[in-house]
Amino acid sequence: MKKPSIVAPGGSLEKACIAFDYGADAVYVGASEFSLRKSANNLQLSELTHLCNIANQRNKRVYLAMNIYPHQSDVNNIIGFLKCISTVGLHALIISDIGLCCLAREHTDIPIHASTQASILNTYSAQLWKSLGAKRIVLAREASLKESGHIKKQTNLETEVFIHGAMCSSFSGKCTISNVASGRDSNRGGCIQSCRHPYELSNGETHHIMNSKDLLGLNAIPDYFKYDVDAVKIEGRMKSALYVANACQQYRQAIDAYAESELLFQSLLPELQAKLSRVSNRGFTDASLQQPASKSSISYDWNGYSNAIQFIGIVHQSTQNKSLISVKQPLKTGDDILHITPNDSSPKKFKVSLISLHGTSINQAKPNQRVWIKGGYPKHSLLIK
Amino acid sequence: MKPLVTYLEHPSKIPLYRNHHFDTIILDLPFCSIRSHQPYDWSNEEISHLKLSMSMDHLAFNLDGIYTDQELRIIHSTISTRQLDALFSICRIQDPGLILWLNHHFPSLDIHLNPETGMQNIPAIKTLHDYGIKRFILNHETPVSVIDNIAKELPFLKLEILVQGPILIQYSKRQFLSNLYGTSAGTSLRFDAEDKDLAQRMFTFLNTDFGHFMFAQFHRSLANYSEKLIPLDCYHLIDARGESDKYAATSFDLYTNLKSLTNGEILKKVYDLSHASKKPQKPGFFLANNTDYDWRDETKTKDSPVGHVISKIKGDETLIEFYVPLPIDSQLRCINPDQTEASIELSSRITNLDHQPIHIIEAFTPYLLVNHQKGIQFKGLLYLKNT
Repeated sequence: MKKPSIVAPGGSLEKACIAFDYGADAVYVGASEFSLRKSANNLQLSELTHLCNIANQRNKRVYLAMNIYPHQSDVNNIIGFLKCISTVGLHALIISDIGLCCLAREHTDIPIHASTQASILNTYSAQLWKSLGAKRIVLAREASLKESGHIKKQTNLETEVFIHGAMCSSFSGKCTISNVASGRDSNRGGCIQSCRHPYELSNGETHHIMNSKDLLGLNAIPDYFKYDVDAVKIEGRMKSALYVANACQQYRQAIDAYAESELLFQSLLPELQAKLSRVSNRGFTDASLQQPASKSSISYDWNGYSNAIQFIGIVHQSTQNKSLISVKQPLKTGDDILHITPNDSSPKKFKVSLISLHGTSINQAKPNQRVWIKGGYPKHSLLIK
Repeated sequence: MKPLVTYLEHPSKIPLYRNHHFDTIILDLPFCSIRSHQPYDWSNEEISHLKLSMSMDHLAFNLDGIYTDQELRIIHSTISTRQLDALFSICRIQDPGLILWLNHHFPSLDIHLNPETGMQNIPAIKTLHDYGIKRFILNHETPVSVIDNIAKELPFLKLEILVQGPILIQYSKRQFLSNLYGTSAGTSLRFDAEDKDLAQRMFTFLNTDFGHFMFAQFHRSLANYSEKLIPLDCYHLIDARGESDKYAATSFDLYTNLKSLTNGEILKKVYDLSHASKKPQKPGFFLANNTDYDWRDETKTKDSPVGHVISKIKGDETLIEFYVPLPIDSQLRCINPDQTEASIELSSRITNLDHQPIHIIEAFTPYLLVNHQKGIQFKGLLYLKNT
């Protein structure tokens, strides 16, 4: 049975590597320019090259998101940038603008994936992108899995469908609220997420009218197989390493289990769902994967994020008896915390003992600090509370 | 006078429109047009009567949604059954994929593309023209300098811009309002709505059978900028849908006579439009689009960084990592997230994590910068000094 590949967000070089460790087959990353996530730790050219080398060694893929809608004044810079990245070893460019697609075809040989920002919802739109040279289409969030299967049959294009994470409530790429509300371009990386705001209507009521719950496609995995989806996509280049690792790990297990047997998949579902829910989320919906998104897909009366665990830190490297970690939340020697590793998603408890970079024992560490902890934990283990 | 283009919502409004000359009239048809404030199902007879009574050569219908294949099948069947392609000469689309659909099913129709957002660069517009677009409606984020540039670069292309009316800033297939209030199909809901996190901005929400639409807190009105508007070789679109007859009549009169009106007369009419719509009348991004502006860009160097600061805590060593191998005696500068800058002397101060001196700097390996280094910050980017 052909398994859909998992495409995960690589908000930074490290997050991309973590995604690989936790089960992603490919990552999508942004470079310092022309990507929709201006505030992510987007990758420098040398980091992109390094990541592509790592990916090739591990038989993984790196896709570069160039999914802005460029202004005319960007065109010359884009051509220069395309020439720079043409030899980096990227496996695809994710593009939403037809002009940028043409420039990419002219100046590189890198395969093109049409971004979800292009709002591809029907066969004709897919066909247009195929004629422009796209190899894969990332379907609009509004497309059902059944529709994706139909489009694939009609066009023979590879299909990629979102499976997890936050959602635009609008057609992606068809929203310019930030442009007029705050002078920041939604489609060039400046989105201020106005759709998450409460709005007071002229009838006096206040609701989070457009506040979409997060996508959870776990239960629909049989249909991702049935409709021959080539890749499932996890949203979240701005999200934490914990989110990325957790999502990759659970979907890796789910997809592998379903490929083995439906029974095994069904038996794992409750546990996988619980593990996906433990990381910060806005409540879950299956959006339009099966039926058009309904009332239950919106958190009209928003009460904040829900999560069961807190992210404490990441292990960057380790020796036999100590591990270098970056600290995300204040941490004290003696704290009881848990760790999960790329090979084990069930948290294991241990007591923290902190050592400074000087090599002396310390009582506490602050967020963004790197310190040693006693004990050798696998690289990219995640510390949680 | 520039050719005017507008929407007509209902046959009862024909007398109001008949007093003015329009190059193109656009009809919303309830089975396919997505954002009618007042969906009206025009019969073929009414459409024929409209053409005759207004001597219209260019009658367009709005196919302005992003549709599924199933929806397209229904739309195809309706257009074919009613032979609408014989009544209309133009179809206005938002989804570029529909160029192929129309060329296949209804090749006699001219296609006008209104992408609503994006596609404001010449390579995109030219490519779509090559696919068969006859007229391109530029989005509202395109400033006059770019419109002028596009018109000069692509002189064979017909361009159109919205000169008067509400600006659509969001389109969703989800029906937020009708889901919330449980209204039935065929009912449009419209509310003014204030963003409680960005107070005093009164947007308009519209909910139709096709989804949810959000409009800016102001109307785009370009009459006050006639000295910039008139020289542009563009069709002028007036959108008075959902507005009063007074708004429509004032707009038509204003833009029909724009060239001959005095500044005072223009100001008065724009004031009337503001009064009729209860919305400020603004140029939006017509004069300039500064949404690209980022204060960090002002000091941004064109050089590529060679590394970055991955940990910097007072009282502890600083941890740095390089993207490329470097000689140990490299002279560096660090540009911090707040754009301050500091020099870094490496040679005697850099060690590996075990505090052992090193002889060569390898890429993607963390190194300690021993002793306190003033002026460098967490997430600072490192650059070679002599570049």
